[in-house]
Parts: sequence; C-alpha cells; structure tokens
Amino acid sequence: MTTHGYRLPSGGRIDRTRTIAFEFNGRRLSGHPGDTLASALMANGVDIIGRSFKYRRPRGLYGAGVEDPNSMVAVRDAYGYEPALRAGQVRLGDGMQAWSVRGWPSAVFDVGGGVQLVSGLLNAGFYYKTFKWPSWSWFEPWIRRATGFGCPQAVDENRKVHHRHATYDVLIVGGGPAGLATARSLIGSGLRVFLAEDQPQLGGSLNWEAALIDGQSGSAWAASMARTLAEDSHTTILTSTTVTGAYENDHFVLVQSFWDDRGVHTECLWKLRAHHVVLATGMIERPLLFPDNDRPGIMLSGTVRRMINEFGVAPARRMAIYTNNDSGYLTALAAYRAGMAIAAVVDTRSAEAAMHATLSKEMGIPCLFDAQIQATAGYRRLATITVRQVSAVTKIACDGLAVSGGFSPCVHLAGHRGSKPVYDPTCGAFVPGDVPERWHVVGGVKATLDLSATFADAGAVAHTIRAGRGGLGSAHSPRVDVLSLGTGAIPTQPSVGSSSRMWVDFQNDVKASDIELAAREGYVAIEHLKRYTTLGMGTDQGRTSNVVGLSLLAALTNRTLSEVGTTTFRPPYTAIRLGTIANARRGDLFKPRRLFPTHGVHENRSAVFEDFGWERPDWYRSNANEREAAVALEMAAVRNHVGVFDASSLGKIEVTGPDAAKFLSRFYVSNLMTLKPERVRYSVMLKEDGVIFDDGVVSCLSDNHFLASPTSGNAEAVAAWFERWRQTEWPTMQVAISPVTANWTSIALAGPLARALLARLQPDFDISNDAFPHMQIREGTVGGVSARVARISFTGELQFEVSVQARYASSLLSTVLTAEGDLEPRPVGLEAWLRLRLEKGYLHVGSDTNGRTTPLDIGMGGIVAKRQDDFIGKRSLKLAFATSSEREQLVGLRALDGSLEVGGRILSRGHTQVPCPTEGYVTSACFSPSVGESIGLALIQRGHTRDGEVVKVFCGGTPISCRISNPIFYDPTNQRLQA
Amino acid sequence: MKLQLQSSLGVDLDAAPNEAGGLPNGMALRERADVGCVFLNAAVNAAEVIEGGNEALGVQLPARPGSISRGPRCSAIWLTPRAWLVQCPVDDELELASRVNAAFADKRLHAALFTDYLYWLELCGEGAEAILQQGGFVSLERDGLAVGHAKRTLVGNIPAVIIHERKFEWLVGIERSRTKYFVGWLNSVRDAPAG
Repeated sequence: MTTHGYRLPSGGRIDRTRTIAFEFNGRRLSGHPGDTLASALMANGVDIIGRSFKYRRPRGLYGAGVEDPNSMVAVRDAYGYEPALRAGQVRLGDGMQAWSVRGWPSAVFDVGGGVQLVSGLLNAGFYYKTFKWPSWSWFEPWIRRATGFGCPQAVDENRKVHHRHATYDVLIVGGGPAGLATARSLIGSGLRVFLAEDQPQLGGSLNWEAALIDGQSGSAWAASMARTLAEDSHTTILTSTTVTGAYENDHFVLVQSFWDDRGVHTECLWKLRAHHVVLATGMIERPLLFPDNDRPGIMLSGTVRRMINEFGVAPARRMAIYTNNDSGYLTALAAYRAGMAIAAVVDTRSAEAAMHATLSKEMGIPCLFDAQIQATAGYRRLATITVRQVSAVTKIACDGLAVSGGFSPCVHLAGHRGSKPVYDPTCGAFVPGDVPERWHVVGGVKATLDLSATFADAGAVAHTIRAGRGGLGSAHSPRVDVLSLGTGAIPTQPSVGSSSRMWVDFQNDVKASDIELAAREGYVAIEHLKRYTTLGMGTDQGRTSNVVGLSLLAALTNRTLSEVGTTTFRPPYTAIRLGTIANARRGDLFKPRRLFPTHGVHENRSAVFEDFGWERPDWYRSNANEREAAVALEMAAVRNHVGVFDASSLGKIEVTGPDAAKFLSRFYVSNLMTLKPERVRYSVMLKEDGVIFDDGVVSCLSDNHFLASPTSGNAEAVAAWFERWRQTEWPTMQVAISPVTANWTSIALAGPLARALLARLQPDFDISNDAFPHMQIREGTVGGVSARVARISFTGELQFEVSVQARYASSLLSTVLTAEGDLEPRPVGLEAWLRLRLEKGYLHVGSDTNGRTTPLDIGMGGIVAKRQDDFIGKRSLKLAFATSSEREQLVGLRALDGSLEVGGRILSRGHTQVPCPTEGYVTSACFSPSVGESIGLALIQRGHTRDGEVVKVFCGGTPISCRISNPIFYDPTNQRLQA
Repeated sequence: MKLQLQSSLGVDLDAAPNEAGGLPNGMALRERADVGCVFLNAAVNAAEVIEGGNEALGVQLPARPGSISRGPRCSAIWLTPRAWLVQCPVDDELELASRVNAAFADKRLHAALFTDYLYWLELCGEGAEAILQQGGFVSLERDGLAVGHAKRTLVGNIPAVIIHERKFEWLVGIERSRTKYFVGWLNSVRDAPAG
C-alpha cells in the first residue's frame, strides 16, 4: 500500500475543520466529516481495495457509490458490522474499521493471485465442465472457501431498526435535479409528496458538476430547493434512503439510514404506497473495453469529477481520460481546474464529433482522436497507457485513467414492476419501456442528458400529476448554464487488443473472451449468457457491465441490442440487512405466540410448555420432576380418578343460518343433516382429493346453529376453508361462519370422578348419565357464569368439556384443580392426553394420517358408503387411487418383543433384516400402563385384512416382532366413557 | 358459586394494568377491559336483516366500509358486507346478543358473544399513529384512517381491528391469545421516530 496524499488543498463539501480517524486493513488513516470511505481511502492514497473474485487481480476504486463493482469491504462502526459494502456507500465514521473482503495474507500481496498464471484455463463455465469428475463434492468446499463477498460475524448489534408504513399521493424516487424540480413544481398542489434520495444531501450530480442554475451553482440551487421543500407541509423528504424494490399495486420498500459521526445507528425499513410514481433515478456511467482495463487507478469518468468536486480528492497525480462521448472532456476540465496534470484525452471519435475539444485544447490538454487504448501497464497501480491511432502508437505515462463509455439509465425499479427496458439507438441506452399506469419517468433515467430538457420534463410531469388529482400549483422552470454532456454514446467495440485481457464484469471477473466463448457454444439468449458466464450476477447486478456485455454479444451474433434485450430486474436494488427486514421478529417476537387465557395458572403448576401453534403444557413438574414419571401420573389420574386438561386451543366455529346443516354436511364425511339439537357427532373432513384434512366434533346448539370444533392446528384454516366455499361455490346458501375460538376457554374433566368434579361447579342442568349421555352438549351456567358443556371423550373415560368465556378461564381452572375432598384432580399435559387417546385407538390427524390418507384407510368406509348425498372429496374416494387393495390402512400394533417407536418401518413380508422393502410405518406409539404393553398405531399396506399377523418393525436400530391388532386397546366396549 | 373475572393482562379489570408502560412523552397506553363485543353475522344479504338488526340493537348497522354507527348503548362497526362488530359495555353483551338472536330465530342474523375474543388497547398521543404504522399500513387511503372510522388490518404481523376514535386516540382490538405478543411488540417499537 502506498500513501501519496491525494487530498486537494481546497474544494469539496467536506468539513476540513475536523478530522476523523479510521482503520483500513489494520492501518490507521484519517479523513473528514462528509467523506465516504471511498473518498477517504483515495485521499490517503490507498490504491488496492481488494482482490477480484476469480483471478485475484488487484482492484482499486472504480465508482463513487453503489455502482462500484470493485470496492467491496467489510466495515465495523460503533453500532455494528457489515460484511459486504461498497466503499462509496459507507459514510466515514470516527473509529470505523474496514477490511478488504478478499486477499490473503493481504489484499496487496495475495497468495491467491497465483491463479492468474492459469487464468487461461478458468474461462466461462470451467467448473461446469471440469469439476464433474470424480465428484463435485470434492471441489465444492475449496471453491466456496475461495469465493464470496465477505463473511458475517456473530457480534452484538447496537443498530436500531424501525419499520414504517405510509401512503402518499406521489413518490419521487431520486433527489437529483429531475426529482427536485418535479417536487418543486408540485408545491401548492395539495398533494402529499414523498421524495427519497439515497445520498445524504439532495442535488445528485449538481453537488459535483459545474452548472449554473438561476445564477447560482448547482449545489447552491439544490440547497435552496431543499429548504423550500422542507418548508412545505405536504412534502416529506428522506435522504440517505434507498428505494430497494417496487411491487404490485405500487408498493415500495425503502431503507433509510440514520448516521452520526460514529456510524449508522439506526435503519428504518419503509413500506410505502403511492398513487403516482416519479422515477428520477438518473443514470450510471458505463466503462469501455480495452486490454487490462481493471488496473487500480482506472475508474469511471464521472467518479473523478465527483471525487474532485464533492470530496476534494484528486484521484491521480497525472490523469488520462478515455472516452467515446463528450462527458470525458468535462472530467478533463474539472481535473485541470483542480490542478491535476492531464496526460491526454483519448477519444474514439473524430475531432469533429467532440464538442468540447477546442476548449480543452485551449487549456493545453492534449487530445487524441480516432484513438483506442491498446495496452495498459502497472500492477498495483496504473503506470502507462498505450494509445493506437491510425498512423501512430503512443505510450503515455499516467497514474490515473478516467473512462467513459456512455450512460446506462437506472431502470431497475420499473423493471421490478415488469416494465421491459427498450433500447434507444439515438442515445445508446436502454430506457424504461411501457411503465405502469401513473408512473412518470424524468431526467437521466430516460437518457436525457440536457439539464434544461430535464427541468422542462419535470414541469410537464408535475402538471400531469396535478391535473389528474385535481391539484393546483405551477411549473418551476429554472435557467440553466452548463457545459453539455453531449448526446450519449453508442456502446463502442474495441478493435485492438486481446479479448482475454478485457474485463466486462469486474465483480465476477467476466472477460470479453468469456462472452465470445459463450456465443460460440450457443449461449446466445441473454438469460443463458448471464447464467453461463455469471455476467451481471452477484451484488453488482451488472450496473456497469450489463450493456457492455450485451453490446458485445450483439456484435458477436450480428444482432441489434434491441434484439438481444436485457436480463430481468428483480428486487432488491441494493442489499438489505436481514436484521432490518426482521426488526422485532426475533427471540420471543419471532412469530406471534399464542397463549392460553390460563397461561399463568399453568405456570404456577410448573407446566413445561411446548409450542404447538399455541404454547401448551406438555407435562407438569408439579406432578413429578421427570417427564416420563409425570406423564405416568397424569395418565393414572385420568384412568383412576380425574384429570384436568386445558383444551382451549381447539377450534370453535359457529355456523348459523337456515342452510347451516346442509352446508356443514358438504364438508364432513358424516351426515350432519340428521344432527338434532344438543347432540354431538364426530367426523372427518376431506379436501377435493379425498385426503383427510381435519377431524373433530360438530355440535348442534339449536336449530340452524352449529358449533364446529376443528383441531387446534387447523382452526383458522378450517374457518377460511368454510368461508372460501361459501363465497366462491355456494354463494346462495343461507349460512354465516363466525370463528370464535379465542372467546371461549375449554377445560376438559376426564376420569371416573369427572362428573363429581363437574358437580362442584354447580351446573344449573342435570348432569346425570341418563339426562346427559355421551356425545351430547348443554348450554347453561357453570360456576355461576354462562357455559357450554359437551360430554365427549378423547381419552376413553367419562369426560366433560366445560367452555366458559375466556375472562373466567383462570378462575375455572384454578377452581377445578383445587377441588377439595377425595377427587384429587391433577393437571394433565398434552403428552399424557395423546397417550390416553392412543390407548383408546382414537385418531390424531397429522400423526396418524399423512398426505395420502383417506377415510377408507382409517376404517370409516361404512360411514362413507352410507352417505347418499354429496360431500367434498366423495368423488375422489371412488377412484382407483382410493380403492386400491395395496393402500396403507390404519391398524393397531402390539409389540411382542422390544418397544415400538414412532416412525418405525414395517418390513415387507419375508424380510427380517434391513435393508429391505417396507410396507408401512408406525404413526403413534407408547408404553401403555393400562394395557401393560408397548402399543402403537400404524399405516400398513392392506392392514385391515391382516389382523393377528406378526410383522417385523424396525425400531431403535433393530427389527422387533409385533402383532397387528384392532386399534382399540382400551375398553373396546366403551363402558367407561358411557358410565 | 361465581367464577372470578380476569382481564388479558391482569387479574383485576378495574386496575387496568399498563404492562406496556414507558412510552415516549405524551403517549399513553391503556387496557380497555370495559369494552364488550357482539359479533353479528348475516347468513343472507344484509338488506334482508338490517332493519330487524337495527331494531334489536337500537343502532343503525352501517353499510359503508370502515364506518361506525353510534347509538345510546352501543356502536356498530362495519366489518364486511354481511358482518358487524357491535361494541357495548361488557355487562350488556349477553342481553344484546339475546335480543338479536330472539329477533332472528331462524338465524338469518346471528349474534355471537365476542367480548373475550378481542383484547382492546387504547393508544393516545401525538405519536400513536407512528407507532401503529411500524406494524402495518393503518390505512391505504390518501388521508389515512379518518376519525370515527374503523378497519380490520394487520398490525405487528397479527390481525387487528383499529378504530380511530379521536385525532390522537386509537383503539386497537387484537385476538386475545396474542395479547402478550402484541404488548411485547409494542414495547419493541415504542421508541420509533415520530412523523
């Protein structure tokens, strides 16, 4: 690394009264407030910022902002760490540390640079062709280690994040001259205007270009516009804000950075919707192709002007300019006025075409016309260029080269909305094609290089917007005095030098020869070319390289640029930190957790919670300190006296209306048309393919009033499923769907003493077995409050499910758990509850069913056969798929030796060892205290015809013997639940 | 025997605990456990039931999206072309629902008890809207959600009913099981820059 001291004695918009200390690759350097990391590095004479992606060539600064393909750095400021930023994006902060993201042991001396010796072998697609044998996995770890754009670090993040949502009448993207003029012309219109600018100050190129507007400098005019807009209550201005994506219905995502002297302390992610959109995103300068065009010291021409005029930095001691348009001369003049030596302006055009040539010559600047650079020299920094003209070859000493190959409008946001850019041959640029309705394109983004035309255009756009929204206001037409940028430039193809030494895409190390190879091999579609060569990939997305590459492909395939087209633009325009997107969605707030109204009571009982969509007690430490012991006690409580289970998460959907019964019957396999008031029926519902979607009970509370109870996990999905069919397929049915799950808490009392425990709550209705039999429901008061009590069972025991409004939930649960006397109620967690139902052979949807299981597979064929009328999925049950004799069917399993485990595979007949074919798997399993055996449910091929058969099940690493049985292991005659 | 009441965040309705305290200056956050609700859902086109519904409730059921009708004892919020949320004192909930259900025995219009489904939070202060806008578009309308209007939308990644009561006063109803999450989310965004 060499230090030259490139800071100019005056000029720029930096605060020279203060100094900021920072480090780059461990070296202490200094800059000023107002500097970017790029300008500070340049001022300190840092030539090499990093190494290139593939060939490890030394690379320096190429652009001044996000367009720079080279200057990828990792940065740590006082608030956090970023692994991959461009130096021009980073505002210099006190104490900031930055590192090159590539190069070992350093970016200046990189051992990996040796790969340049074999660069001839590493052409496009080399790894597709080369690393197929013997296995890609041999090479992948090495390639991954050698590539990438920086590594994240697990560090504490002090950076704050906010999210904002807003709606505006007009969004103006870009605070340069076009955006400012449009915003100014909308003042007084009554429209709410939002202006977003990615730089810290408004003005865009006016902050560094030599222009006079209304008699003042461009930057002064921009500042006065900023003040005027800030005073307008209808205008919101956000600087340091990048619009990263445009989405349907004109929704936009923006990232706003707040920074101080120590770095970026806050980021705000905006989601913004606008009725009108003004695209004033300007353009990016294009490079030119010539041999070894990637050497440190070579950079975009506009970057040189910006470095001089905005940051007070001379990019070189002796500067040459290589151009195919008039903007290169503006750079020469700016550098000359800053006191830099100008080696030459090398123009690919003839003298007649160069409008500022005379002025340049008057300043003593040598101009070479009809000229091309045929070679450059200098490894760590440019030393010479060799220029070929028709009759001469000239070697010129210079340590900097400003390059201008024309301009590429920033059409990305329009592209996000599907607008395909169209090539305008008059200005040599892709401009937005058919933009969405109420989008307006102004200034550089439509390849307008003339500032007066831009201002006129901005006034016209503002007029259109005002007229469309009935607003007032007047156009603002400032007077302009500026050196013209010319009329743009057609992409130029080099006629000298080797294409294997010309870099098209600096970030991905794609050379002109790679594109030639791709064209030879038939990758002539632009999307294919991109993927084969990596042109325009990575974080750069081809900002500087795309049009150069496209024009080369067009020339190679004898097509026009219009015929070649562009690749697809997708959000985001620049990278967004995942932490900024996540914001509060981390830790406890990662996803909206759902808690029971009784959560505190469970906590007091030392419940161990599991996230099943809801936070549900899995087991209780108050029962035992160890899970299996606690579960055994909880199961014993239900079998021997009474257990208390919180079933509040079970879905509750009220279905009402004259057609409610008919409506529900179309969803469930069982006929609900015959369900009488106060009766409850269990059934399953299917999707159109006949596969089980959900199960649960449906209660008839009164005529035309039903309560469906889907599973906890499907409660919201079932309500949406009902609503979808009501609205789209059966809109004439008189039915209403009211999801009320969270309104009610449901506490299940299960066990021989359940009735006695319910009696303690003093229900105002008869709960005797005769008056309130199994599968019925009552409405009344319990514990002095309105309640619904269903006598249903998931455990095989006498069971009452008491539902009260959630405000009484804790009181209800506490009351039943502290019931005195000989009841000994015990809280029961979900694990014990599921094992109890397994003993009874009850289905648990999701565990005992999969994406293929139909009601025929679980023994509900008889119910299906009885249904005369239609229900969703019925037709599918008649298809060969559903009636095949080879289907997996749900059966019980009893282990004859060993223990069953969920997921255990049933070995095919005749096989006793693995590997072998299998014919099903264990869906639920446990050791049953009631049966005294290891039991399970399993989906087994032809299971319903194999009762009593002994099969081998691969469990715990070994095959065990099991007997296929009826799935009901406990109380098969239902005496206990009907007691 | 009478079971005891408990609000979403505390055990005593009257104390109105303020777990989400520590808001920026001038802001106030209050649990509104006094707000009762009935969910009205029509099985037929609204026009067929609206007159009977008005009579049973004593308030005009609104027909325009986002609008609220206020009556002496309750107010009705438009949710969908066939559904309304009726706010009332908690103690009136049962009686109100019974009146509607008695008037529509065939269930062409159904009133479901809904007080405990929603947790209501009152957010007051100049920065209240900015806090809500951290969690979503409160409104996509040009001038935002007008005072006296309501909306069902997403806030902080969960569905919510938002009522713009007065210029700097908002009432937010969220599903009860997500109360703790929502309060946690509010705490995480409370220092958002206003404006």
